[in-house]
Amino acid sequence: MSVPKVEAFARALRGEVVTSVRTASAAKVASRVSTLGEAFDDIESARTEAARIKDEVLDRLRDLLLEFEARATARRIQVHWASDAAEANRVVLEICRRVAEPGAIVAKAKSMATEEIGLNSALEGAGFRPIETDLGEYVVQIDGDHPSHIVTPIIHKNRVDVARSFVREGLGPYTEDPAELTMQARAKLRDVFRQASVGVSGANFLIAETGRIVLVENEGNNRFSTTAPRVHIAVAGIEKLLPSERELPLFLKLLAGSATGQRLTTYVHLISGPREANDPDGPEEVHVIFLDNGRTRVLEGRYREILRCIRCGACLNVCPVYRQVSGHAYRHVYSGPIGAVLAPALEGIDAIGDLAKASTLCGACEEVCPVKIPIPRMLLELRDEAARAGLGKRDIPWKRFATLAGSELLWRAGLTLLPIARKLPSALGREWAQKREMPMREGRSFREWWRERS
Amino acid sequence: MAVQKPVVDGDWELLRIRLESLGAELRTIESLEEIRGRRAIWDTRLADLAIDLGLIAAGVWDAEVGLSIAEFAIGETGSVVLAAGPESARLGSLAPPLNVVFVRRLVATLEDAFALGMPAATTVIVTGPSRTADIEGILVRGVHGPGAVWVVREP
Repeated sequence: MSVPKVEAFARALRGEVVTSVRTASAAKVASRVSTLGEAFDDIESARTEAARIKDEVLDRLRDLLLEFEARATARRIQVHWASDAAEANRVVLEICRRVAEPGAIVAKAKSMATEEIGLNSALEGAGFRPIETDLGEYVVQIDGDHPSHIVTPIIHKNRVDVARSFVREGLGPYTEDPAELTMQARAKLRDVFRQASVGVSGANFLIAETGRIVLVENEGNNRFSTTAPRVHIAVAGIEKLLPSERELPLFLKLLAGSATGQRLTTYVHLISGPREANDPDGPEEVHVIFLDNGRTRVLEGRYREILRCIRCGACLNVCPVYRQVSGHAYRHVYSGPIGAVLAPALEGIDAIGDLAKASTLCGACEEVCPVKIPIPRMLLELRDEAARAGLGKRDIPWKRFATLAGSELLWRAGLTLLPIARKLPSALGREWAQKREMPMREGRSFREWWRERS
Repeated sequence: MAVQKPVVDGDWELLRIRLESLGAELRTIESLEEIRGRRAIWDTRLADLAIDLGLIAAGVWDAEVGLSIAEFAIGETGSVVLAAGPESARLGSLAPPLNVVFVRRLVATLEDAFALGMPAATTVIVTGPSRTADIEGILVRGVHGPGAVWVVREP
């Protein structure tokens, strides 16, 4: 199994894209270290504790889900269950058809879960107008592109790209000033918040004990999308639960520090349900749609710990492969090291199992992971699984190697020929030899040295 | 996690430092002269102050200033905690370009804040001005929410 698709992507990347991704990733890696160092006396024990809590959540998932449903329902939050993407989209569409006119605007807050289920195309297919309101996601949407990073969706674009897109969409006069571009988007998206009938978000945490939805963000579009429209729908993976709000400070600090190098994100929204009778504003209905979409299967298997993930993106920023190839090379909404495991775990190894080879196994991803997911171990297991399933071709012709190494005569002949081996057609196969330098020994061979010594 | 008594008398000087590093400010009541006569939306408990400052009542989408009351502030993170309720529009602290937040109590850390108990109503923890770094990682304030946050200590 080789990685031609990932490599082809890397080769096709524009130089500016590689520079954008590399610079931004390096900056985030640096700020993560300094912020987490200040926020925690002992970052190691904080990560261990977070991993332990998430494992406890996965062990007690069924009970916690039912507890959340009971508490949330008591708060007048309507809880729905979706076993796959189609079912989740259907629930969203049913709600939209009931509360909104055909062609109504749906304000979208940034959410990986709705990317995963392809909600925007489902909404468009049903005649609604979903509009992404996170600045980066908005650019991705008007360009007909895909987010290339879990946290910073347009890390692969520069200001000139954004400027051209905004002029094309009639947002204002051409400018390359990031502040002016941001204000153009602000003005445009204000109208979206005022007009939207429904707001759709993801969820960062769902609290079993209190039935509250927790959302974190920096821009404020998430607060607008969940506050201004009449109806708020949150789509969340079933693994997003936490037992109680006592665990929140740890997770909020780990998430903000790991994702963007902040002590805390600008807004942490604790949503307790629809507006009360005397409240001047707020949604009249709040819905939570729990998404399985392969997660219960992952829960039972050898990639279970991948469900600890809190979507901080730290493993992308630090990954030497991601920095070279950018997120799109992974061909899935979840990119980078986490995507290389999560994508095949959710969708099956025959779909995108080749991603497991797009790694040097350097271990940096596991070192920075705030919930200590053993990503390198999982990548090895995925490779093993793919090999056993006989997927793809193998790079190294082990059978030929075994023949060589199994016969003393052939082996000696091989060693004698080593100094001129580079000039001969390689016995180990062209593709393998092409990419590798044959190592040259220094001085005598071991056998020569041994003979002289004895 | 060991249960400790929350520290409810945080360090106001630390709060000031944190707010400034976020691009927000710790302000005195006297300095609010700067917003005299502006279009504003306010928490109804601040009606007397609004009259004193000659503020003009405006809707959520038209106000230049939103005046809010925080349950408490958090020193370690430079945050204010705002709860929804009949006295204040949720969008009043979000839509206007300037959010002025009155606060009386200060807790030391985020852990203290949760140990003390978050309000039961829908609540938002606000840490500085709205911000984005989506374009080339360059920090821009005021993308959707307020670009300026003033925290005023109530006597």
